[in-house]
Amino acid sequence: MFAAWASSFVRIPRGVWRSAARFGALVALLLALGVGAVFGVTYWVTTRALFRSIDGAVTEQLELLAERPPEMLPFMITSRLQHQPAVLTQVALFAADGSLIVGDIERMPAGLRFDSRPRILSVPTAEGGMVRLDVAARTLAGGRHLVVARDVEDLLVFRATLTRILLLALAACVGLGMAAGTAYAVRGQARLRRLGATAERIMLGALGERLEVRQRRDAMDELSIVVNRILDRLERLVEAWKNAGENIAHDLRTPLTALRAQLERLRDGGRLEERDLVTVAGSLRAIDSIRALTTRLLRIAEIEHDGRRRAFTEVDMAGLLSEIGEDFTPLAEDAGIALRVEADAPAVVRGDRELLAEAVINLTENAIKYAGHGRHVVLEAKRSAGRVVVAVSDDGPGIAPADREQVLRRFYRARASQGVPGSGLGLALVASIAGHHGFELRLRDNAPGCRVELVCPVREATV
Amino acid sequence: MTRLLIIEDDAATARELQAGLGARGYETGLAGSVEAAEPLVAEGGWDALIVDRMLPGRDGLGFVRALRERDETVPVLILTALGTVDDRIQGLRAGGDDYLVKPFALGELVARIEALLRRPAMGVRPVLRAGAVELDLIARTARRGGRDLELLPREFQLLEYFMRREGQVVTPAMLLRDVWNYNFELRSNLVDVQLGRLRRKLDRQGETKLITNVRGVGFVFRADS
Repeated sequence: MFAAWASSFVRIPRGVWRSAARFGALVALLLALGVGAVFGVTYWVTTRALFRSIDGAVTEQLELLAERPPEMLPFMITSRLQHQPAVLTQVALFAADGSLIVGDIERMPAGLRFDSRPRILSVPTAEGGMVRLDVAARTLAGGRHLVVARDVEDLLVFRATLTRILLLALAACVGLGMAAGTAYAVRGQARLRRLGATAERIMLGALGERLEVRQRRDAMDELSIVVNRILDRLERLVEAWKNAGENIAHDLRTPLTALRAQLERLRDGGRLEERDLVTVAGSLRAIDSIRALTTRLLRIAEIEHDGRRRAFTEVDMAGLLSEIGEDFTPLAEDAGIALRVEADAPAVVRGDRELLAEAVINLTENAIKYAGHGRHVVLEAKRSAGRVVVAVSDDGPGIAPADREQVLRRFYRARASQGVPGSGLGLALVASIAGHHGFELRLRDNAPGCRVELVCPVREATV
Repeated sequence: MTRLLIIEDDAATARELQAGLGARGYETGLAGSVEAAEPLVAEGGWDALIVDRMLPGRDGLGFVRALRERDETVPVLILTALGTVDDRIQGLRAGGDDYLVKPFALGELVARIEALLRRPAMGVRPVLRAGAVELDLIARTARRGGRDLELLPREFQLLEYFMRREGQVVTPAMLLRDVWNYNFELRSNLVDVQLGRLRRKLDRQGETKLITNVRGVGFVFRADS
């Protein structure tokens, strides 16, 4: 389980890691502030209370002894040393010149101030080491100095240890917060990416797919449920629309069949004048163009709404272009156009060979139709990092920039091309074939002329 | 006389088909549904069936499938108003021999029926001969009389297709489907142009034109004697 979870992280791109790490850092910062505050208060309260009580004891002792009659003082200190040797405070009485009169502090500590205020001083020990003492001193009548001290070395060590422990704990909290925050964000984003990938597939025609909904219903799951309901409805609508389209085609084509046969019978009956025969021939052509239109419309509907990727194989676009180039060269020559194929062999993409042929043929037919006498048409397949670009270009009149978007829509024909027969569904069909494959269709200015590109992403392994 | 059974529910279409085919010398029978067609088929004696795909009640594809399950080999031409690629594949899978999308020219229908009735001899002969034309399928060379014909691969395929259907009307749609393997319609006159090239290579001045136009329908190949 963990291995699977961990390995799912390996595939996550750097962008996701970066934004997840930012979230992790934020979590760590908040955690550091919170934990730091708690630790700070604990530290302050604990150490302050301890040092206050020691200061209190030292001051109290000093004041107590200072209030005694001066002549009694040496005796009291001596008896205290004799009778209470285990007491924690040290006491000493120094003469005005600093020499010890009585007490258990060997020498007057350096830096001593005689203001009765306790402060911590480092004092050399008899063993040659240093010890830290909490010391308070005052000068008595006659210039003698009374000094009270307490060893706080252990306490200071404890405080340092406490500080270290708190800092370590804080660091651990920050690290944990960072890791947990990042992991949470990565998982969240991984889920979003999965949802995105599903949405992408649905957009490409897999209308039957649904977004994942987990047992734990969080807000994202609720949203997914709503989107899934929308998709249910959309799927039903598309199905109804598709059926309606097919029904219209059916309903239209059946009477057209009868009509066509009637006209043919009239034509072949031998009783029509030449002028009437011309009219009948025109009617027959009109019926055929209606037929071509319905065929093309149905074909677009079929490609766009049939989510199944039937017959996807590896198709060498270079080979396909050469074949199409060969087939259409005579047609181009008759139109006074030089047709050329420039292909990096092999330029392999994954797709439906017949649909791709249909797309390229459509573009080639368009180019030959619109380029004009004396012009050139080039079929290209160029391979570059991670993609194959298939292009059909000409140096004819081209498409005005304002018309380019429009050209891809059904039925639309650029104003400049009005006068050339055709239903205008050609590029729309190419666009739907491109969409079906997840290829990008681009219209470019060939300066002069028009250049239509199919940008086909390929996995490196297939190149 | 060739007997054709038309199974079509649209009365106007059926009437026109009967009239048109009758005028071209075919004897026709008519059924408006699968139920009406079954006893007629059982009587036998039909050279081919023309079946509309969408029929009231039982559908045309199911009828054809049932026919094939009974090992009936009578050629079947399916008529459809749908005409998408999937649709055609379904029709052929069900056991139809050919598939025609409405509306169609009567000539196209006749050409398809004739093609079904005279399924070309797809023998494994390495050399096809028709009159003075000789096609070596292994060496991929073509000759007319003593003259070598320099044919491009597509032109060779075209000529082979015609020679295998000598005397039979071939339509542009048949050529696109069988020679080019394009199951979609073209907007350009690719077939005419390619055929024009082939004809210019095939026929020298003074020689008989081997491939001739059949007005409004297609082309036919006739060997010179």
